[in-house]
Amino acid sequence: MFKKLFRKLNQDPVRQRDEYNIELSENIEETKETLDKIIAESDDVIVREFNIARKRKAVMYVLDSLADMQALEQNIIRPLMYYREELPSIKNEDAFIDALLEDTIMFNEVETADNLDEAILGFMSGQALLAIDGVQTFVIIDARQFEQRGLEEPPSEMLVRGPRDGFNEVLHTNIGLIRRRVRDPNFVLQFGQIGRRSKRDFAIMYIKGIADPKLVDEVRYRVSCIDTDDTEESGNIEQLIEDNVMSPFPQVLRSERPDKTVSSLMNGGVAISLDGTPFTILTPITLQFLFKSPEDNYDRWQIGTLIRLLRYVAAFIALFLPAIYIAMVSFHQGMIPTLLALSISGTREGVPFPSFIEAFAMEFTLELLREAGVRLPTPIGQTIGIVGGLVIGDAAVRAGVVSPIMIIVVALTAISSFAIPSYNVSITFRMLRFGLMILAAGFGLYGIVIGFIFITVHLASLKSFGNYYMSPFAPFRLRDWGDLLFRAPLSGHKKRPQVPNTYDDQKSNWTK
Amino acid sequence: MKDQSAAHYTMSPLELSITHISFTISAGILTVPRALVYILESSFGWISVITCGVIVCLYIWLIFLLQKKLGNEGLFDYLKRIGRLKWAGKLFSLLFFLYFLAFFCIEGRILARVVQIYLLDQTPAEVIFLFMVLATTYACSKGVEGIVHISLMYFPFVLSVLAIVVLLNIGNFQVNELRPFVAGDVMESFNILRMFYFFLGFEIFFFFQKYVNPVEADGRKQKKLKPLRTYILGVGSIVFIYGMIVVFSYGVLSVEATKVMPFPTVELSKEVEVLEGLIERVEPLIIVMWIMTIFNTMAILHFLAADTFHAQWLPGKNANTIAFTFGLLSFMFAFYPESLTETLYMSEWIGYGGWIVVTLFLALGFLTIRKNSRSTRGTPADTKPGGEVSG
Repeated sequence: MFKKLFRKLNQDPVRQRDEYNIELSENIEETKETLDKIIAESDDVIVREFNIARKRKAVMYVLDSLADMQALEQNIIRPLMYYREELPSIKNEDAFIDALLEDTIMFNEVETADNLDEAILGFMSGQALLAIDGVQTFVIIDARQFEQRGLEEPPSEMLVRGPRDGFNEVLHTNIGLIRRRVRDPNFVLQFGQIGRRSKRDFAIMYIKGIADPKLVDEVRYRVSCIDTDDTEESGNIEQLIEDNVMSPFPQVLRSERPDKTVSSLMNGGVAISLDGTPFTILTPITLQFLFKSPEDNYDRWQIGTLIRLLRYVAAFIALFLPAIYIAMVSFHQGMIPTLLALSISGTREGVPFPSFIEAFAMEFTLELLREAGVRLPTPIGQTIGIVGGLVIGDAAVRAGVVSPIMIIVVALTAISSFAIPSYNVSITFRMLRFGLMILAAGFGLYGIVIGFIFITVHLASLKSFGNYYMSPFAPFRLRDWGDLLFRAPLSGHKKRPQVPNTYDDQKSNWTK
Repeated sequence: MKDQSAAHYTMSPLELSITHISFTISAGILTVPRALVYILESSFGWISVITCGVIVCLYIWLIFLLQKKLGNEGLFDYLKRIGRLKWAGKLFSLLFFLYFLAFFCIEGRILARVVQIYLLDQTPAEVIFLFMVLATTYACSKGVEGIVHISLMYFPFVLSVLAIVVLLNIGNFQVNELRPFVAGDVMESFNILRMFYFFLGFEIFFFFQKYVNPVEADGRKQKKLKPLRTYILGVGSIVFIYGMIVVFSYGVLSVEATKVMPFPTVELSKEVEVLEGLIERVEPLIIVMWIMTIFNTMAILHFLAADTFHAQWLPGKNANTIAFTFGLLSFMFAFYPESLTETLYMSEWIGYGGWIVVTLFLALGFLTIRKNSRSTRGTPADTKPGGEVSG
């Protein structure tokens, strides 16, 4: 499918439109005229004209918002203006450029370009463009400087124990954070540009000798097939490269944490990092990855095991509890112990709605509160939580609109969905929960089982980059069970997981 | 990597064995103790369970031998490839289609009845059946890997159900109910003819064994697995599970009571008391998990029938259409029997039919393959390049 798409997109004439195959003229005035038309329309483009060694005209184009103007003034313009030596003849262009680059310009990243097509991308990302009278070559000076946020703890992945730094929006900073943790020369990083118009930088990272080359090729291929104006966030890439677009389940992992990224790389994963977002995409994953947190390995194994089991229980509650409540109250009252049944029916006395409407209304309110809380600034968000949770809940019970047991069910469901480390899969569970509630209202436990069967059948054949999503449950991979529900002591993790497939299985060797 | 087709799919012998177990234990587990009582009129059921297990092992061994000759090709693929045996492939795919269809209808009918008795007394059986057919049709669209993976995922549920029923009933177990241990009807218990259809399910080896590959997907060789031993162990587990259920339903419910109960295993779970006050009745939970296993069996039946028929008769058409047709047919046939008793009575005959089809197919396999290998040995020039598989 991708191959077809790739071919189709590349035949499109629109791809030709963004090429500026313009050769430079010897006359600086002509060059300037051309450049003014193409790039100097915006007001933040600084066009600085000056004379080199008071003789030859030169013009520098730079984007004010992205470049370090002071450094350019100090290290480029000043030395060129005060150049005292005799300049080489203009006829010998190469020697002239060499003299400039080697003797005068004091900058660590300088290169040349013959046409505008080569230079334009650098210019648009903040490099300075220097054109000189009589020379048909651009000098490109990399004086980029970005404003960036500090390294804060990622709010979507808080840990009690673990490093406090998280990625920010600048790709190079993020790579630095990973490099600081991996000093293996086999760590491979490949840059590319994505987006027809935005030309954003992205990086594909993996560790050679661990990651399966087939997987790396597949990731590269899928990313290279993306042909769109702009990928605003790594979430866009995620949706464009995933295996099954119709699935509600996330098929790649996202993380703001360098330690999580590195651990994925060490286990044979491939990471994609995009400039402009702190979220890195980690592939491939299986369902169990979404229940793991880096903290499981930082604390001792008993704690890790306990917490992990808790998360699976939480997932079960988040998915099934309201549905089971509806099924029990409407169809299978016999399953509830007599005393509890009496107390439930006591509290439900006077509630005018059937249990399904009651549950649906409360779940809906909860989702509404949650969404409202996310959008508001933190202090107001808390107020909303208190107003919504306490005031409305209490008032609803007092008014006899819902039963207290329903409030317990809804609250338990909400808390459980927060206990899952991956926010995106907890949203998936929220969606599926409503479907299961409808089935439970119609067919009781049988409806829930049918719903469960549909979910498992879907999961059984879902793949993430060629890896079965339900592994190591199905296909059965015994080795991976040491780090699944039960987290074995670290000394037991001698080999890397079987999914993803890795070239070098041995992770640690304790016998020597 | 992007290819979802079964061409690249491989499974381990353990996975096949688990699929076999979940395929075999389905509707049967609910009725096995009662069927035995009727047959034997005493509590000697467990002996015939073991005898049946031995016979199943024999069949599996024969199919295993056959597969060795075929290599990584199924018997149906072989028949299709050899021009003059095409008719046999078509005939047997039709027979298997009918057998699986009948089997599917009966399982579905039992499911609908059980759900009606224990979970939803108001809902019509047709609706319950329809939901299940929808689910199995969806499962069929996922191919072999989907089917096998579902079996693997549900297997822990099957085991936990049985473990709950058996372990929590230990307190209620009375050994005296099983006596006398030695009686005149020991010989009677070797009459397994009416018992054997509970063990049908080993025909899955005809279809799935070609996917069992000793080489892992990444090209590395697996540790030396002994496939046949794994399969035999699988049969052992089936015998063990049936045996436990039979012994416990006699021991807990008594032989006389087992005789009159429609679904003794469910009644067995009714005896269970979990931490008094936590859950009043366990059997809806047991039924819920049992629905998963019966779905599993029905999905395998549905898939095998549709897939084989598709490959032999209409290879150009969409396989999902055939799966859908199968679902429609099953809906028409499943409610043909008037009552559950009639359904169970028919299930015996379908069991015999299936047994005959499987045996004939096995015989055909041995006959044709031996013939073919002999003829190729005679005139090596006639062999098509890359076509013949080493025997």
